[in-house]
Amino acid sequence: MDREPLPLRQPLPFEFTGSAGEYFRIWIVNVCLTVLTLGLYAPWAKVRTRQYFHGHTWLDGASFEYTADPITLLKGWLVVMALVVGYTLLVPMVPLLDAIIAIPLLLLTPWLALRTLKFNRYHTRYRNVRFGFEAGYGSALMVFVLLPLLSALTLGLLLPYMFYRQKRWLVAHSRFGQAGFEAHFGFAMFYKTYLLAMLLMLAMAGGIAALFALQLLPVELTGLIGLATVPLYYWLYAFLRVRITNIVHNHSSLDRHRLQSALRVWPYFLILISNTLAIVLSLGLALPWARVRMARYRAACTKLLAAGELDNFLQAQQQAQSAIGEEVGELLDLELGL
Amino acid sequence: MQLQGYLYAAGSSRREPARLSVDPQGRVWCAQESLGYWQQLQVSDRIGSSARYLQLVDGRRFECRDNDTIDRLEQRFNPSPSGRWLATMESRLRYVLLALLITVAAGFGLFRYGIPVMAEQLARQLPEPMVRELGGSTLALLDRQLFKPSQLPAEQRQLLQTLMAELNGQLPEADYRLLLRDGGPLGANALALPSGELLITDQLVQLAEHPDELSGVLAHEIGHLQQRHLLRSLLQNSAMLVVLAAVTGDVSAAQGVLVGLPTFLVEQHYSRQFEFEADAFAKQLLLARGRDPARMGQLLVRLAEQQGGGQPDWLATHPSSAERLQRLQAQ
Repeated sequence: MDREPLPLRQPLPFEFTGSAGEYFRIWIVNVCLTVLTLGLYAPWAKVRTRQYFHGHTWLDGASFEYTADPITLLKGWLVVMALVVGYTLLVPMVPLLDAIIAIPLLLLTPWLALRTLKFNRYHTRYRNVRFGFEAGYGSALMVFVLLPLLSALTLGLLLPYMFYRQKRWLVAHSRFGQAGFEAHFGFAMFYKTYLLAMLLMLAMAGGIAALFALQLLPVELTGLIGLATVPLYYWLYAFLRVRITNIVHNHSSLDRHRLQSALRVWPYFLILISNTLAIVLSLGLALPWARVRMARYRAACTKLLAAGELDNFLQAQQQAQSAIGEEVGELLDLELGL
Repeated sequence: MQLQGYLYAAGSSRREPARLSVDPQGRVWCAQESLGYWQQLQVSDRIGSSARYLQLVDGRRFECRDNDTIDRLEQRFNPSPSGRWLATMESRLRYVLLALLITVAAGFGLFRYGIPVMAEQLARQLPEPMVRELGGSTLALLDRQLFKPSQLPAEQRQLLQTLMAELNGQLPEADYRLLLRDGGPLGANALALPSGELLITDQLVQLAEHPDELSGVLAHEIGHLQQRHLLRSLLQNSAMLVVLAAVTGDVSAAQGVLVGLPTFLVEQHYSRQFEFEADAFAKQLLLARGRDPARMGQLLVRLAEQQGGGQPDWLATHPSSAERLQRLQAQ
């Protein structure tokens, strides 16, 4: 099993080895137990799902690991449920409740997001070393509350800048052991991508309108325009997702190691849309297959450009994290997508 | 028993290939070094075919893909683990099938019984102004897209308005308004908007041979309104989408198409249950005025004959006219 020392910047491929059949078994047991326990099983389901996807993602002969304890998650889940129930009960009794709690809620969100990130990073391990996330409340408030507000005030002109700051924040505060990730991308790349997406959308919408205007398409099809926008919307999503992921991964580093991401828009789009069709037509039962397919594609397009062996990472001193923010983090979709 | 894998130094990503062996007493060895007893190790759960991690007492960690041997060792030396039954369920086909069966049954039960109940409750709680607004915009849309002004002679219109007034008088606080339209592509049809407007097309009026038939149609549409069938149908449809997304857990991927689908599959018809409910309501109303409910059934049969055959079975959420006639005639 001994290997020669790696030459400089050797590309190490990520690989996802999960299979639809295997994940289906875990998934259906998860769904069934979650239904039978009226949702109480949800934390176990979440942990097992993460364990499955982490555990089947391999890099250089070692897999990722998710080590969260479902009981910890359950506590967080119960707190969130209690808050939701309390809110529902209070709404009819306290007038203007929404207005009263709006600002505290707004201020609480970054804190919860931060907790979620810390929790999930802490419980993700690779080669015996934990990931981590270290950022202060102020910076979280900036990227999750102030910048979105500012971007709304400028009618979206700052939107790409906001996404840029969020991504940079996510990368630059992530750690692997004692080593920190570094972000090298700039906001010009984000503006270029969003501008291109906007132009392509306008071109496509204009093209469809022109086809009707020139009567190349019968007027009876007008009713189907709504349906035609669905693939268009998917395509836009795929375009942004792929381009931004590539930008972020290709311009991030960890020590002297770098990531390389070569996702492409069309394959991603086709997987996305065929996945959705399969899920809808199977009433959800194709979901495991769809997830595994996407995970496999994403892993296959990602490499680590390793500068030497991955032997030199050391565990950082970290405190175990509680999971109070986990449910909210889920809503905010906070995944670096390593 | 032996395990081949990687041994990681405590708190480090440095690894070395290693072979652990476990003797019959449950003591774990790496070459000549004792690593303590198997029970002292923290063994990660089995998840499919992913690697397992054995946390040693001294902080070192052993990574191994030999799931089966680890399971045998666990069974032998660690008889009371938590979480093993899960892996057992996931690996045995019969449990997986049982889980599938329970899930499908629960999903079916929710769609079949849970959602209609929730939709009904919600429909009755919705504020009246909102409901009326929903109807107003729908009427404008229908007038623009489908209907033309009615061509009926004045005496027929007068008769219809009289029938309407009679039904309104029969119900407390009823204020339903009858609008007449040429059905255009919709043909012989009648519908009720949540804003309290009943629409009946010229084509349907011309098909009728007796005032009781038309009175029955109006009473039937009032039944739909009184029981808030339109709202309930709408809510049931969107509630199913919400639940579907919740169960599958992948809203982001599914919602695009899910939002687009209802417009495509838009239901022109109420469910069988709603039609029967509206029929039963109409029957009571007509009997109270001494009119003959069976006549409406005859109109329905004539309508079905005119449209020729009707829909294929799998689309037939609408009960057959013959079945409805039978129920309307029954004492």
